[in-house]
Amino acid sequence: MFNSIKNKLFTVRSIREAIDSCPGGICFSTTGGRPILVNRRMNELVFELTGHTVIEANTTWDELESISPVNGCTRLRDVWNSSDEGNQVFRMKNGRIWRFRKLILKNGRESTVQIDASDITELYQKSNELYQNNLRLMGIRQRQKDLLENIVEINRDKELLSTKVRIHDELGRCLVATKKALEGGNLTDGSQLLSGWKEAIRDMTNIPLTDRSAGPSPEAELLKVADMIGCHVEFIGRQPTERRALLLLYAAVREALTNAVRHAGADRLSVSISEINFMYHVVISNNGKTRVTSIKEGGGLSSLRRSLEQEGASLRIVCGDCVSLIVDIPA
Amino acid sequence: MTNVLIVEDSRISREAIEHQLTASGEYTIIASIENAANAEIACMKENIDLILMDVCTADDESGLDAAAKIKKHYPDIRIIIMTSMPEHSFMQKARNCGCDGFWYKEFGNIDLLEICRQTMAGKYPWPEKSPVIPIGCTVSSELTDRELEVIRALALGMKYEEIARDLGITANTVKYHIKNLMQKTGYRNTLQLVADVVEKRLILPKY
Repeated sequence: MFNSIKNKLFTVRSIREAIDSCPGGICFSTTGGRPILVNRRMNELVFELTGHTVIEANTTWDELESISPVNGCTRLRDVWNSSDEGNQVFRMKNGRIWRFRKLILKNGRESTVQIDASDITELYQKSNELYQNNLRLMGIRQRQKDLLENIVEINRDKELLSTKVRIHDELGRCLVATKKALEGGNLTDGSQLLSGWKEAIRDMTNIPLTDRSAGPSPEAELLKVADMIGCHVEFIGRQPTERRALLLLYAAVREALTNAVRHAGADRLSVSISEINFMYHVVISNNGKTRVTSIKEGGGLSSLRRSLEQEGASLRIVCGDCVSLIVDIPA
Repeated sequence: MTNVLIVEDSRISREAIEHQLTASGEYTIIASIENAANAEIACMKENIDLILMDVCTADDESGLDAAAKIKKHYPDIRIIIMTSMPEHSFMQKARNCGCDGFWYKEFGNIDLLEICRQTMAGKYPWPEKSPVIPIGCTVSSELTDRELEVIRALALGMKYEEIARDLGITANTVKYHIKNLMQKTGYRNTLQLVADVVEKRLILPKY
């Protein structure tokens, strides 16, 4: 009997010693919260955070979830690890970072609660670094996309600038040569000066010093080509001021114009625009002679529908004395 | 006389082309526009024989898309695609659209009038290859079509998994292509590679 008790105690002591020597914290309890086995490290950590050791496991876990840690410890957000929600991460007074997890262990019909604590200082630092790098990478990727969006514009500006620089240099060279000749009273080499000026002027004739902003507006160019095919386009109401909405409007007008002239022989297109509840309501109709009961959307109309819907706009086609397009574009 | 429509959004280039064609006495400029989307409308009633079509036009409208539409309805109109961008896929896209000629504004060794004459004579003047651009330690002609597709996807900000899905290959194959690209170009990361390729306009995914 004595030996049996001695052996049992020896086994319990061995388990206790083994679990106390574990570098992490561990606590086993019943589902009701009664501690079965808590090691020294877990008690030390909980004491440092809450001011007491593990008395009741569920209460301790609730405290870990909600408390503001004491003794210079701080709670950290596990931002980099979205898959491990529910873990509690703390920076302890000595700067080490500990993560607490709660697990339910099932053994047949019995369940045991395990709360463990692991020192994740290095992992946390590296993961945080990785998280920050990923954020930076996302920013770079976005900037790269923006650059790509504008690359044509940027290059055009560069080309324009280089042309201006070239003409500036050419004119400057002529001016310096002329000044030198005038100051020295030596105009005997006038033919060379004259050819220099002629060259500069020829460049100026072929390459006007104006940028793209002086070019035709989207409306002006559309009206110009509409006139070329003998169709008058009339806009009624205020046009969108936002570039994106404006381009969608013109895409719809272009499609309507093409179809009206090609299929209905129209020579007049009316574009009526009204703004209702942050939407531009656009009705495009024509004076075509063909009465239509239904139409099958071809490549042009279905492509227009796709472009409009991608931007949150919508397209309706109304058949009757003429085919009208009704477009709603978000403002 | 050949009736010409010019589609070019740079006023500098547009007026230079107008001047060159008019001075030759062989061409009549019917219209000069800057947005390719308006080109099809211009072709509806005017008797246009030849279109000089830029690829990247006003409001981001693609000259290649416009050319495809025009060729569908007006196959007799001859179209010369012109561009200052060394984008490697433009020539093939222009062929697919049924265009009749192709002219690199900055890289070609043949002038525009000659291209126009050849096109109107029923020939198909076409550069042998797209311009060769230095990319890191290599040149663009050393990159395979697949590698260029991978760079295009990277330039669009796609992740490896997305690129694999898009190109119908595995993520490991994407990594393999990227490794090869790094070896060829000598760049340390994909960002350097994409920055260089975009800066040199070898890839313009919008068009």
